[in-house]
Amino acid sequence: MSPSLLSPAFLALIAIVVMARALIPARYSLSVGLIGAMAAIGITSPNTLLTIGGVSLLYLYPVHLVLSRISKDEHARLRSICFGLAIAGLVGMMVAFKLYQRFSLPFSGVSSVGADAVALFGFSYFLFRAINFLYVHHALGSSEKQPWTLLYFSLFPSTLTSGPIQKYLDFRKQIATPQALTRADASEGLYRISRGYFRKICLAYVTNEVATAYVGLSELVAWQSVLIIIALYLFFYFDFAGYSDIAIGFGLLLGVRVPENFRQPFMATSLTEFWRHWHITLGDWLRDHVFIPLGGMRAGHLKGGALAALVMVLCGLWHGITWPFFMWGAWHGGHLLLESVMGLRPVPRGAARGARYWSLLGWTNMRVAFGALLFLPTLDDVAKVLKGFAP
Amino acid sequence: MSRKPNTGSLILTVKWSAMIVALLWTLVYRLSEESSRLPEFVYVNF
Repeated sequence: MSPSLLSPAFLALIAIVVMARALIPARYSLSVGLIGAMAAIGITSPNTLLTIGGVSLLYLYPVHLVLSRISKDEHARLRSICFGLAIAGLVGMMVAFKLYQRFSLPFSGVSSVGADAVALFGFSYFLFRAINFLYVHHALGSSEKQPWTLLYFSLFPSTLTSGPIQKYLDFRKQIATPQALTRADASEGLYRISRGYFRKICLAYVTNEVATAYVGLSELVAWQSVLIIIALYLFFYFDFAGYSDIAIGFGLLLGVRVPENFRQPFMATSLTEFWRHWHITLGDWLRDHVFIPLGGMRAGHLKGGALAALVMVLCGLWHGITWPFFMWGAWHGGHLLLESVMGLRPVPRGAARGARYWSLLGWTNMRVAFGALLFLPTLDDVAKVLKGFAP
Repeated sequence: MSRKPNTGSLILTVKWSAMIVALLWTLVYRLSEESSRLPEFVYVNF
């Protein structure tokens, strides 16, 4: 069993939490939600509960208390160093996990740790939430009186495995003013859940089957390569947008409005615009926590574009520390740099859609689709698809 | 005076019904086959 939104056991447990929330007064939302989340994750994957819960209570919470006690005015430098070390500790844990992919708790009794890596699959997304938690408290100089909202934030079941990446202040605000489950929220939540499973089980399934079948051929011709590229691009969209729909839907049923992750990305007319509409919460996170603190666009188009390229390379490596992911980051980053240097402005949405609009839209989607090839299992597969275009 | 039908709600209901039918069809006729397996969400692995 695993705390996956495809696991019947996990879904049944979330459904029980939703029902409990509907029956119990709204003022007990945090208690019901937290106990329910801990039970659902603990039953389906005890290691995930122990790891994420443990890091939240034994690392994040004490560290943020220490940071809040260092004066912002008198010891600003010491405070910044401590904040940097705290972040480095978190990133170090994730890199170790990414490199070895077989981390396990020593007392979990699991001998074949590789098979248990799934227990920690929420760690990457948890890292984003954890850094956001430390970042906002470092910036505001505030602290939490109790660790329970942080623990619920870390273990929120619908976004545990793959986001969308929530912001701590937004989450805390919603938890502090709990609302009873309304008919409108229930209806919207169920619709989003249905659409999410439709996208994943029907559309992503079919596009994956098409891409897998053609990639499996020993040699390809041009139309087959085109088909693979389109199927792969659509597969990633339906799979991840489907997941995001389900996470948002369950979030609504649990009383938390989870941020949107996709807003018609195929209608983007530049890669800069594309990244504001595809995996939005990751783009926002990278902008707020990496791009802007490192200078953003303040230093001009060239330096700003180079910084955006660097952020994209880091984003690629976040997917996995491998050459194909590095190349994927460099591909997107290189295009962002070019667009920044050229001062390319996307066609505003809602503007008249002429030939320029459609050609930019096609060019943008083509670049993203070609980049998605780097997610194929091996570089040989990538080469095979590209060879299909050779005369 | 005839009442104007709520087309937004009607379209939503039709879309919803079509999605559920397609979902059930896929689950019953495609994924119930022994060789078929629904892979985990891609981004779970990242």
